[in-house]
Amino acid sequence: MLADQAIDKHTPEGSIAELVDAVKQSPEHRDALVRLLPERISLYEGRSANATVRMRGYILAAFEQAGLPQAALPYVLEELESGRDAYLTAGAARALRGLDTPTSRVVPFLLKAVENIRYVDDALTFECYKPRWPLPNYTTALTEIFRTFGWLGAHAKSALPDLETLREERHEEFSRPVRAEIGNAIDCIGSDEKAAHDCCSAVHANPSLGVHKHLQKKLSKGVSISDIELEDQEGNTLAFGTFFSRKPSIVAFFYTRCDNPNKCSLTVTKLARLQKAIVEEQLAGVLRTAAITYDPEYDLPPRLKAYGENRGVTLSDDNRMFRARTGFRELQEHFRLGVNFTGTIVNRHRIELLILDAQGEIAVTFTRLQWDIQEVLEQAKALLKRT
Amino acid sequence: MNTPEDRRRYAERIERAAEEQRQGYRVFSDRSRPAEERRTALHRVAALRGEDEVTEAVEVILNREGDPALRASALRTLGIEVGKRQDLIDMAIGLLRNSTEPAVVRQAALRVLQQSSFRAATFNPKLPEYLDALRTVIEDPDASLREQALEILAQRKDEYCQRRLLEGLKDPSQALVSPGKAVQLLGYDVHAEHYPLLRDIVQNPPSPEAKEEAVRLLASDPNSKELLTRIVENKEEYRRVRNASAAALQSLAPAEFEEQAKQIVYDPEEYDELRATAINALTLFADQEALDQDAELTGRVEQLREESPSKEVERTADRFLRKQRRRR
Repeated sequence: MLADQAIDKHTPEGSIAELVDAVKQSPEHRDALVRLLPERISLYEGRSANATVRMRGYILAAFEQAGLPQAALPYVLEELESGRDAYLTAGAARALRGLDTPTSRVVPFLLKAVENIRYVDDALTFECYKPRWPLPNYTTALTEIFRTFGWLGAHAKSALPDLETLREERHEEFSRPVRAEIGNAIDCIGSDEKAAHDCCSAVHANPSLGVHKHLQKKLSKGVSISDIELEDQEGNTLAFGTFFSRKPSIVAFFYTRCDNPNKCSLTVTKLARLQKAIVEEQLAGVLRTAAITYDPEYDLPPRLKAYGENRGVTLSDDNRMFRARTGFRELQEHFRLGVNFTGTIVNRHRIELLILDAQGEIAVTFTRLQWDIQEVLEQAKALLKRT
Repeated sequence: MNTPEDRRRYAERIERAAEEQRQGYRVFSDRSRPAEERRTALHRVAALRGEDEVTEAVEVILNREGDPALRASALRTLGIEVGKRQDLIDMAIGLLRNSTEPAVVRQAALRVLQQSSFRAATFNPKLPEYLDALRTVIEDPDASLREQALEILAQRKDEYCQRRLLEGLKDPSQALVSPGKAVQLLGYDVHAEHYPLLRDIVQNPPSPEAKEEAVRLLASDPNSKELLTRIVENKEEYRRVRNASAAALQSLAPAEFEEQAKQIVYDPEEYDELRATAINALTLFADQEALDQDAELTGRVEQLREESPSKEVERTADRFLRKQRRRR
């Protein structure tokens, strides 16, 4: 099986599709698919955003048949929560139906997906890779989402009021077949009389949170992260170690060309709100904040400044927006950033926010799913207490 | 317009237009009249609206025995209503999909759907169906319909559309449109992964148009600098391709293009369009301090302004010289 061979940027898309199809027949190998999900792996290097979407969507949808392992769940929830691509969202909605047991904890993610996708839904199929039109029949992201609500049965009872609102008051926003799916979902949920227990659910309270105890200080080539040269929104240059030292800091990653409003734009907007919360908690002098771009060649200081200011970010000595003038690849490696590129253009990235300690080492990570301002603040306060 | 007389005249004009529209509709809906007359009468109708008019128009549009041009006109005139009603969107999508319908009717359906797609509230529920229809139509035997559908999908950066265009460029037997058009459509969303294919098209062009379009798209590929430079230097090359290469280089490597631009300006055998591009590049991107010292170049641009029959050269030279004068 291809899974046993090296998969990298040279692997043809067709081979990945064959692997996915093979795993659907042999679900015991499903971990091979999970290994293809991190954005940073070589597989996605140099591929277009469209190719990346094709491969990831096909992989996600396969979990419906192969079974959805816990390790893949954050990727699925991320797509439902923040995705704006119909193919990926449909794949993620299908993937949930591969869970061993339904759980009510996925309900908010599915409801969010309805809102994310209703203006950009599309005709699609997972029957084969790279399908050719005309399709004998197609599905849509909304169809898959509502079908998954139905599959959840009693576990989606909390969604009933929302689904009924969609059916009764917002029915004009949906096509006839999708309205029928909403009706089916409501019927399935309403008629499922078994009690819904989530005690053994595969979904953790917050699968995006990671608390770190120790991390590498040196990069593999011996380059110190401290020496990486950063340039801030005013054009000031300084070493990474100069800013990220002496005080803990909260760092968000983003890029201004990101076209998903639920990702970079929202991240930077939330960073601005987090800054206000820091001031309200009287932590302004002891915590720094920074936003670092994934796209250092394009995001020059004026762009960084305008992007931050337009989203309410406070910019000062302790609160800056950066691009790496040198060593972005090393920075990427050090923080194991969930991003990949075609040329210098980002083709895929996750949401990531880190809390660094006073030595610039990673203490806490919030990755993939939307981070909560209060939770970040609590983690930062806990770190300050420890130090 | 504020005097009572102005207002009276304005009201009369509106009433005249309304009457003309009513008359136009009466002729259109009179089935005893010839199709040509009914179709011409529709020109006087700005839009068909109201239940009766819509019902009449739908009957005409769906009458497969009817005159295709009349059906298409009725559909176009119904356009605003289509954007408001999902049942009419369904009708238009059905006509677009149906390959047994006359091309003129299907083209009208495509146009009306494209206009309606901007009315998000009504159209969004139909978006998957519309996209599915467009992707089906790009394989249609009718070249004009195929091209229009491709254009809409390419503007939406549609994955399937891009995939089919690339397949056609790699294998002409799979091509949906000419290579030049395919490259132009890919230009709505050019990716780094397209660059090797575009370079290949430039080196082994299936047509001069495809080569020219590919050169334009390579303006954002840093790895194509040498290739573009060679094209600009090659006087045997098609003029339009050389000109596109010069424009691409001006955007891609303005500092490096400076020397080449000067050579073009001095070369007595160069043609005017390329000279204009070169002068423009020097005006916008050249090392200004070096230019200030270069009296010979300024003299040559003055000479071109006076002697060149090309308006474009005269205009760009004039701008170059005005900028130089301002610096003095």
